[in-house]
Amino acid sequence: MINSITITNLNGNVIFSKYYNTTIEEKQLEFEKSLYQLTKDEWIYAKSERHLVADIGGSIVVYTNIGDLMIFLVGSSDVYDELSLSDVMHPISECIKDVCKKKGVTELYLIEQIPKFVLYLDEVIQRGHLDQIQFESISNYSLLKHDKKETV
Amino acid sequence: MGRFEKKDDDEYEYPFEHLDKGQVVQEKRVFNDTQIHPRKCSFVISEFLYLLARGDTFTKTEATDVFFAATKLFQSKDIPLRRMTYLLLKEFSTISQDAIIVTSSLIKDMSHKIELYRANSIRILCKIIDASSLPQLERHFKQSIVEKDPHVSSAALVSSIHLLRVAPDTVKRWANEVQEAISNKSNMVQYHALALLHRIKQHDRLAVTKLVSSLIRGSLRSPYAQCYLIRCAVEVIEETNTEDRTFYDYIESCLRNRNEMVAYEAARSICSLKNASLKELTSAVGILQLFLSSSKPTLRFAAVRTLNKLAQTNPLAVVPCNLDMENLISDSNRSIATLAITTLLKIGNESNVERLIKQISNFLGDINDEFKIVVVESITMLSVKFPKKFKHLIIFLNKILRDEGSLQLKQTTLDAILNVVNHIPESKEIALNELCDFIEDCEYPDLSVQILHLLGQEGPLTSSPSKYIRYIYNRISLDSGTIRAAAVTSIAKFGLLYEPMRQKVVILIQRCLLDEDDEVRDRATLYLRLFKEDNIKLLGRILLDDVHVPMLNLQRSLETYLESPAAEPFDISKVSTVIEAHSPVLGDKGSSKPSSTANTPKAMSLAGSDKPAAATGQSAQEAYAAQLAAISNFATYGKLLKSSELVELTETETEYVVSCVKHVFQEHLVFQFNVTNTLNDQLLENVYVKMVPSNSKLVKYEFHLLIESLPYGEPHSCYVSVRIPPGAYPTLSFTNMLKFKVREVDPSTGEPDEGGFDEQYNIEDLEVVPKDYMLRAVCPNFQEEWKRLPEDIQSIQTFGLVSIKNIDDAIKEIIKTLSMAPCEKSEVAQPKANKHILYLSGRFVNGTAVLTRARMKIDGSGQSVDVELTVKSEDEIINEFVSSAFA
Repeated sequence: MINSITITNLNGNVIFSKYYNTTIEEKQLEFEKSLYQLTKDEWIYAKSERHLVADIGGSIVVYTNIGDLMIFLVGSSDVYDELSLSDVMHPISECIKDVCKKKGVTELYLIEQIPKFVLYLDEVIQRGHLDQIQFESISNYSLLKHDKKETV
Repeated sequence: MGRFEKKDDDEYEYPFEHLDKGQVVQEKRVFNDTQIHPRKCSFVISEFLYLLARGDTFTKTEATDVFFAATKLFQSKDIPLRRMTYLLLKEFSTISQDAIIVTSSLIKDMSHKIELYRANSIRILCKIIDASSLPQLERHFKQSIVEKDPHVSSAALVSSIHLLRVAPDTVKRWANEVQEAISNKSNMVQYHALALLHRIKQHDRLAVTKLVSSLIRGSLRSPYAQCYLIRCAVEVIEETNTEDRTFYDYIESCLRNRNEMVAYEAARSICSLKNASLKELTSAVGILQLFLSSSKPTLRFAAVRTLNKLAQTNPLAVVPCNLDMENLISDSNRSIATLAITTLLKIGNESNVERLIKQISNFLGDINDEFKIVVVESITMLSVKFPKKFKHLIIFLNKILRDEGSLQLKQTTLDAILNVVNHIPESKEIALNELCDFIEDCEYPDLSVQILHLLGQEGPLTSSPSKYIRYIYNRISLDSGTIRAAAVTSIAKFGLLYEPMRQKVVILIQRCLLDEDDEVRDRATLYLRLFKEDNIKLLGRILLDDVHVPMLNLQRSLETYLESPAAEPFDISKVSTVIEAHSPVLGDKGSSKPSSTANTPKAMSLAGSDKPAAATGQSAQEAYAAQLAAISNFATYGKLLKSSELVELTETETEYVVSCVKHVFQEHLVFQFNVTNTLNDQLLENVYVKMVPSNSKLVKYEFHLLIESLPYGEPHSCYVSVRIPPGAYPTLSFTNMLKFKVREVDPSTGEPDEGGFDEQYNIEDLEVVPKDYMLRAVCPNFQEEWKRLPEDIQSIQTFGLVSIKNIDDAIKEIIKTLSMAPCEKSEVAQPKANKHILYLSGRFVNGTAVLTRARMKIDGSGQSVDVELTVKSEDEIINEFVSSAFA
């Protein structure tokens, strides 16, 4: 399953995080700390939405940079390996860009729009399972429209 | 950017920044207005969502309040508000009480004309519904699954995957509908339907086989579904050992799929298959090789990760990718580089190791300490594999030691060097020379002290001991007190072990008599006096013998002594010499389980019960002693003499997991059974283990303590106590049966049903063997003790360890069977040795010291190891008893 998604600013401060497994809070903080420490040296290589990978304590982490934000997706390697996580990262990136509109992806704009982002995310991941992957469907469902014909 | 603008920026307040939970909880009253304002309500919901995203937690009462207030919003017809309401309800449904209250509203929405309502109401329902009320909704669910609209159908399928855990029997009845959904036009629906259908049929091998073979002929479009199907195909191949090539052919055809995810999954599967043909393996590795030079880091990572795994089982197959992986050594994504290095080192051969190490050293500058540690560890492994290359390894490790780095990295590196030195005697001199240079400017005193200790121990035995003195004496002139003290001791060892230098050493030590540090002066004075009196024997004991007790025990005793200062001085003879084997305390199993199951509440409670023991640094034995002392029935038994390691009596994946610890008391044996109930729909009551001894004359049943109530996921212990005659140490086996009463539980509410029925469950036999009466103990001067013990009553036995083919395994096997502590570093054999002598020391539970010598030799055929085992102690019966472990 997809274990968690974490969004931080470029200083490594957590802006948003959601855990789909039952990790206790202490462990979450610990994990976020090691997430930062083990990957921060490579953040410069994650520019322009390049997806990088790390293996932290047996979990696969795919992370990327959008605007002022770093996004981390964590999966257990059985079903959601680095390739599917990278695939799931695409709609999530699109969602972030969409909620921040044309103003550019910054910490401020994301925080302003977090409820909307949560709405989007709710369509992408259901309790740790991937639900929708196509951004068009996700945005339509979240915008409360309904697409009758899904593009294949 | 203009100055003013910047100021503006700074003043911009972050929205929600000062949001207060209490205030927001108050604001929920807008939900109660007779005229609902969608905008206002949506905003309050937004605030709640923000609080949750920020990490605020709500108490049960707060959550229940919010949840109930939100249910009012069902009255509004506003669509955006309804969507927000769903989200809020879903977030709070798990914390709130009585979430079941919204069921009827949700059921109404399940047949609403707006698809969005249908999809979302299903998602919430699957979170709050329990197994007993699900059947009423079956019709709705079935309808939603076959719905054309992909949103509703996906929601229903994903929800059913979750529901499968809550009410498996109900969901299993939907198989036909799910089958129909596989042919839905939407890619995602296909994937979800396949995933659900496979889970439904998981336990029916034939059905899975049928499902897979029908689908591989069809044309699944979704890449996710294709990946899933590949995994199913692998499962079929592995579980049925089928010779049917269709499954193999399908996987192989996927290698050529345009989608990288599918191609990779196929390649990975082939690499993991036990009997993949060489042709298949070659084409799979070929695909991975292509990925190695992909522009996407994720793809490179996936490829190298798979190759790394393959290298463990089939290093030859990976060799064609050598060049590509060497290019990855400098990859900017360090996880890829590290994996590439470890893989290359795994498949490296004698001829290219040198070049590889050189290449790795070139980029060492740009990786961080954590990755360097991984590299150091895999280099250490190499030293065992290619002992001849020690020179390059030592130089490489030394380079890491000298570069800037954390203490942890340097300690790991130093340990690695020590490891190499211990394994490869030829490497000693070169390592010592390099380390001498290192301590010239070492920033960590801890490391300097360790190195000085090593120099003192090994330096005098090299071909030219005198050259080390200069380095050591430099420390005395230049370093801090701790290091100076270590250096004095080190120099004294040269005087002791290398006679020609004794006079010079005395002169050097004399110079330290005026040192400003007390410890340095003390040591110098003591050594000097002994040198002058020529009291070499005492000097040897002071300098070379290790402390008679294990350091850990000494530290613990000293700590307890300091906590409650007593009038009498600390007495070292009271420190226990027993070495604690690391036997896990109750519940430690959770941590060793694969992470996939670690997400269940069970693992959490296990982790919780683990803590107290770890936090206080208690040993397992003490933890057990405390645990047993708390039970009044055992109060009269006296001191706990020995607790065995944890013995698993079931597989770890069974319905009920049972393990046992055997406790030995003066006149009793107590069996502690740790039982975990892994079924969330059952509550077990009056759980106990019925034990039947193989020889009922040896032991007498006393009583058992049962577990009154054993809920899902929480491990508890029940006990059986038997009496043994005083002074007897019976060895026998028990056949065991777990007996209990089952009450069905509703997993969603946790309420057990009335009634219940008696049930029993077979668990494995348990043996009481000689090692259960043996404690590991140190013996500082084995040889002297060995000579002292009487020879006429010793027990000598020769036997062969069948199917053990090398000395290392034989050593491990003997230590494991006897449960005694190795002495004189005899647990390490020379690499590739074909004979070896192992010295072991232990203490029998009655306090008798026992020493054992095992001479072993690999049998001429190379198929087994011959052992001559000599057991010595002051008690002939014990000697015989200990040897009987191998009978």
